[in-house]
Amino acid sequence: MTAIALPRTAAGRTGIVALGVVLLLALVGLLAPWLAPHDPNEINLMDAFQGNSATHPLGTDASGRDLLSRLIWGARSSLAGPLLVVVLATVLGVAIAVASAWRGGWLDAVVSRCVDVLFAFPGVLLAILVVALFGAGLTVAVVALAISYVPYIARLVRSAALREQAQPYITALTIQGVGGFAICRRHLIPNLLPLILAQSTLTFGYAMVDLAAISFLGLGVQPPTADWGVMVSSGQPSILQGFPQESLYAGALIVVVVAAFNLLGDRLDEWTR
Amino acid sequence: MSELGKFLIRKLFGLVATLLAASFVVFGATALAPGDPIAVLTGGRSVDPETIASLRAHYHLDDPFLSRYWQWLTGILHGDLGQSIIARRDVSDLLASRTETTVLLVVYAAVLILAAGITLGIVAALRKGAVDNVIMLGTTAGMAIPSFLTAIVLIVVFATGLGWFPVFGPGDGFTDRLWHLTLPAIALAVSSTALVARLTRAAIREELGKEHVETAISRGIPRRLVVRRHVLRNAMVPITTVSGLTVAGLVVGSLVVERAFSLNGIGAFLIDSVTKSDYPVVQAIVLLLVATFVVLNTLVDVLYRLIDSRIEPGGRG
Repeated sequence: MTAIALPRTAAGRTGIVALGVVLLLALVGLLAPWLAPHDPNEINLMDAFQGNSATHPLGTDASGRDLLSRLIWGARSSLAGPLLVVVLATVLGVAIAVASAWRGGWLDAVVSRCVDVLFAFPGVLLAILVVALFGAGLTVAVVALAISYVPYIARLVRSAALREQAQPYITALTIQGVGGFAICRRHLIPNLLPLILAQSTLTFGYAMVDLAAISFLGLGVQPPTADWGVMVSSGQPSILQGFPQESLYAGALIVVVVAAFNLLGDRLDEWTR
Repeated sequence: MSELGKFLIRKLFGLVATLLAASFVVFGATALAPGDPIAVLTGGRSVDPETIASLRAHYHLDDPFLSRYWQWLTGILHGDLGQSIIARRDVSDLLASRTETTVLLVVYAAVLILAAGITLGIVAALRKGAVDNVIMLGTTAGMAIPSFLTAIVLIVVFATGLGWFPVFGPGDGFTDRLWHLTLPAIALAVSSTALVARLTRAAIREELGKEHVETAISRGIPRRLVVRRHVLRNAMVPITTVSGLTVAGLVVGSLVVERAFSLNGIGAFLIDSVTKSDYPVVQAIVLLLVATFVVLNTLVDVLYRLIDSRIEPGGRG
């Protein structure tokens, strides 16, 4: 087994803790069928708004569904959604950025103008426009959000790719007759990977908040599916009846994951510099 | 022509070009949408072919794409935002009353962000130690909490818990409105306030470390005077930019907050129209929000240039 050098600084240790929290919650989501004490969608109106008890450790919601089970199952879409957004946006953004930086000329000009236009759409507005056209749902929301993140990733990676391209080793490879695609795939992109990884990690936090916001607006994951963003929203009417648990628990989990990813992203960012 | 004049003209040209491109994206995206607009118009009822033909003619559905885009665009330039399919009324009429709520909310939040964010940033930068640590900790937490959750927590604590503020609705009359909008504005402001505070702190710390500031202090000029005359004035340049951009971003943040507090603003109307596939309303509101965002961003750029005349127009600041 290879020995892994554990970070010795306090900052490094918070990074490890953040990573641990994220992995733990991902594991909970994966093992949901075995961990959840109840069916997350089992409605039992007689049991509405139960407090903490042995059968319902975190109580129940307005329809008598077990909150702990819904939070556990909710980890799936709440974590997988942002992950898909980040992967999709990163792959698209990196491909576009490296291609336009490498080829330059009209391709670069066109890509840069398109990116500029997409920047005119603030935050989740582009995603909402796409959802408006293709209908609400997790898949549409994920694709839409990924598209709206592409400009941010493309702009960052393009400038890094331009810097990297100016390095002598790239010129050396070109002189040796290595093809442009091979240079990008084997040398340029691998050398940009630490930056891309740090950026993706930070993007995960944003994706999580934005996706939860879209679900909160009723345009993402649809009820009765258990999802943290949906739970914050569907628990809102219960607040007026004095049962804020559903919204608060789900919201707290979102904050924990976002904070963990932000910490992790910052550490990776420092580490890659 | 003066450098400034050229700069302003170029900014204006860029603004118009961006808006045109954005309007094309907004309109073009709707044309790409799957589904038949007639189905939305008739609400799924079966209608005779003549009615369908007259509806198609009324909404110009058979015209070529570019001609429809041109009609829509010239209409908007004349203040005609189109007609809602659902409400069968002019979009501009429907927007009028809702705009007020949203504008008041955004301005209220912007004032809170600037006042609290800059003050906290200055205090944190000048008071090293415990005060600084507490503010930094608070802003770290503030930035990780999404606005819809801040809204929920505020409702739980101050509206249903302590009963200090009304829970829902926009209220009547100006003071009552402000009263109703206080919690929404705070919910909208928290994360941006944290961001502005952190950046203000960083900008001031950077200025404090500069040689001319250290020289001034070592010459025995009172620290308060140095801070006011040299540190704050120079730090204002990045602070203004960041604050301006943050406030421009509120335009979209208000969507979520309006929903959380059941406010009848533009954002809530947009979401409502999205779920009902009322495309003309969606197009109009998205374009309106994009235009506001782009105009505010351009204003920030111009302001930046006016504050710091050393910045080469078009160059790196």
